Amino acid sequence: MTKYVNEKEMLSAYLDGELLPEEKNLIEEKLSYSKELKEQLEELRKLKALTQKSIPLIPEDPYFETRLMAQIDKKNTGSFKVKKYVPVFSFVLLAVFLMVFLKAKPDFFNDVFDLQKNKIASLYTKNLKPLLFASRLSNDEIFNFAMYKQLPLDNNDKQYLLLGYSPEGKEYFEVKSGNIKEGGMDLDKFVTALNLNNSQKKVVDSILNSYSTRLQTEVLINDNNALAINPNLWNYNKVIAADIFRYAASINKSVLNKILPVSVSYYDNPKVVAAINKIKSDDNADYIFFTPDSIFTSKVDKEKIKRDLQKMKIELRKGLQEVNINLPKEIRLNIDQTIKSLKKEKTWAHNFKVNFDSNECRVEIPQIVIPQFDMPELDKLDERLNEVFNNLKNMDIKIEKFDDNQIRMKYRMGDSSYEYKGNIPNIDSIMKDARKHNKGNYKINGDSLKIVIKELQDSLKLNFNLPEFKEQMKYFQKQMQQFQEQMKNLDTDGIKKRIKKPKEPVEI
Amino acid sequence: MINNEENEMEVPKILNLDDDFTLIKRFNEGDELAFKKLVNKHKEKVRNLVYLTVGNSNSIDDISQDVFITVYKSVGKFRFDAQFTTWLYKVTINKCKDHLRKVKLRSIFMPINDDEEELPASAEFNTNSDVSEIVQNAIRKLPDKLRIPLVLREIQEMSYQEIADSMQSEIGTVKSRIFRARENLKTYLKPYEKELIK
Repeated sequence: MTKYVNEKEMLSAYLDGELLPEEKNLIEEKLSYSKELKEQLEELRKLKALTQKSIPLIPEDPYFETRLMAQIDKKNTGSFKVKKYVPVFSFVLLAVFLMVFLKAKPDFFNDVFDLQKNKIASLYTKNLKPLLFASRLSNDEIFNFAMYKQLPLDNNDKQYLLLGYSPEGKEYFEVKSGNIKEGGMDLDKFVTALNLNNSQKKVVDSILNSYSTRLQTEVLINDNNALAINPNLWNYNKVIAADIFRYAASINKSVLNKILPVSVSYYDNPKVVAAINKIKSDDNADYIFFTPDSIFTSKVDKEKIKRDLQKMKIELRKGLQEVNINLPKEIRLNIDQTIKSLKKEKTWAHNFKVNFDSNECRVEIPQIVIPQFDMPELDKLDERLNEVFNNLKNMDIKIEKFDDNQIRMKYRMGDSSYEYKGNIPNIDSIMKDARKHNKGNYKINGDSLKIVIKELQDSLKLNFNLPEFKEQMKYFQKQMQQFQEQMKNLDTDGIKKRIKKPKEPVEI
Repeated sequence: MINNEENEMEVPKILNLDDDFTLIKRFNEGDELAFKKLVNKHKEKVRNLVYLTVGNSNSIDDISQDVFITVYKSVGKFRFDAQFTTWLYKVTINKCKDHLRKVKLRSIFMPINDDEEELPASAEFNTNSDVSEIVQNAIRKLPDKLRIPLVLREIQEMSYQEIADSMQSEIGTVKSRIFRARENLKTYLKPYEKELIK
């Protein structure tokens, strides 16, 4: 059977011309004597012809190449797999690039962010002007700043700056809306309590005024609604108070001792003097900027600010007033809206700790060098000052007669009443006289002074009709000359004799 | 210009083996036109091979296009140690086998609806059909492993060695399968002996 199959298989291969020469010879030999094999070959030949003839070729497709090339183009053949993975490749490439790039330039992103910050900063650091000059910072306000760490930011008492301590003991700034909270001690009260005379009061004023000029360069604003605050304000707050106390101690140690909880002699400490001198000479130009976009630090050309300030002062002296100075009188930093939006964006420099409330924006200062000397807890000064102030004996003055040559007045100190008659003296002479009798401190009630001033005004009866006014002015000059001569020839002993001595010595 | 190209493309019948190699080399050097010529030269053989192997005219062009896309992508790896057609038919047969495998797999899950790939059974042969149709149906009835070498031999006129190379089998296997295919065909066509004699 196998042999039979092999012969037929060889016959099939023979028909196809696929036999080896020896196989071909073998099968041809068999075919020569086998009629059956010949018939089988013939049958296969017919089948082969029938097969080849019966299988039609399918019609040609003239558009085959066109469609093929279109499909190749569509898939982009060689690269279509790449295309498929383009996003992945891109991502990987980008990641690798960034890794290599950041390895080489680790500060790249910081630099970019810094660049952006600088761009924002440049917007807000242009055209800075001194706000406190615009709001005409008074000595009272400077004194209040020294005692209570509050500075007004506008003329309308809508916003003010407050320096404070966080629960963790960190210094912070607050921009607060509303009126400044008035403390129990103001400049008048302090001066009165220390029983300073006019010249001493002038010294206090000059001390405060010297800081006024400096404080003016520490709070700046510009038209882009930026508020720049110099952290040096902290130092100024401390040294202004120390400076005033130091001077007060030199005038009236005993009273200051009663006001301040620490020894007055402490303010003669060379450390304090050195700190005051250092702060006065220090010119920190790094400001903290509150802006609608961010809170950041930046340097300010302080020399330029000073020059501008000088120019403004000259213009003011010339009488050009603020019309030409063109300073904003009110900061437009809107805490409710502008600053609140910052809370969401958190764009301020990361070294600040910024807190927001409904009406305040608090910035903790990370690094600030404050003079190292102890200061009394000024919050407690109110109580002490009031105690001293209440112990002062009131001296009421009532003028009963006041004419061209003579004055008759009664004055009362505590429970004792005194009377004074004589030529027109000045108030200082009365005070001096009273001091000789009673070693102690006095304050003159405002009401009494008002009476004196009113009397003076009434006696002058100024009339602005020009000829009459001239006559009145001549009369006034004459009176003043007489007054001066009287004062020169004033016999203090004579006055003493006319003043009754108090029945009991006045205790302070 | 197009006519000239078409005239050039008519020439393949008398080209020798080196012509395929030249076209491949030119294509590998970036000549897209050489690839078009290669496609034009072999497309009908491929299409017919697909037709005879798969037996479904709907899939002929899809499979044929797929064959040439594979050639386009892989011809850079051609080693020039065998005829291009051997490699081309090998690709074609593999594509056809992939297709048939998919159809078979699909028919397992959709035996009732998917009848487009079913080959007509011999009993269903129409007695009125002409000779060609009878023979075609008989060929289609052959199993793949017998039908493909037979078709490659009778239609493509490939040698046993080429068929073996294309089908990745032995020459003896090809020889045996072609013989068995013919034996089966004789059996299938026996009932129509009278019609075939006419």
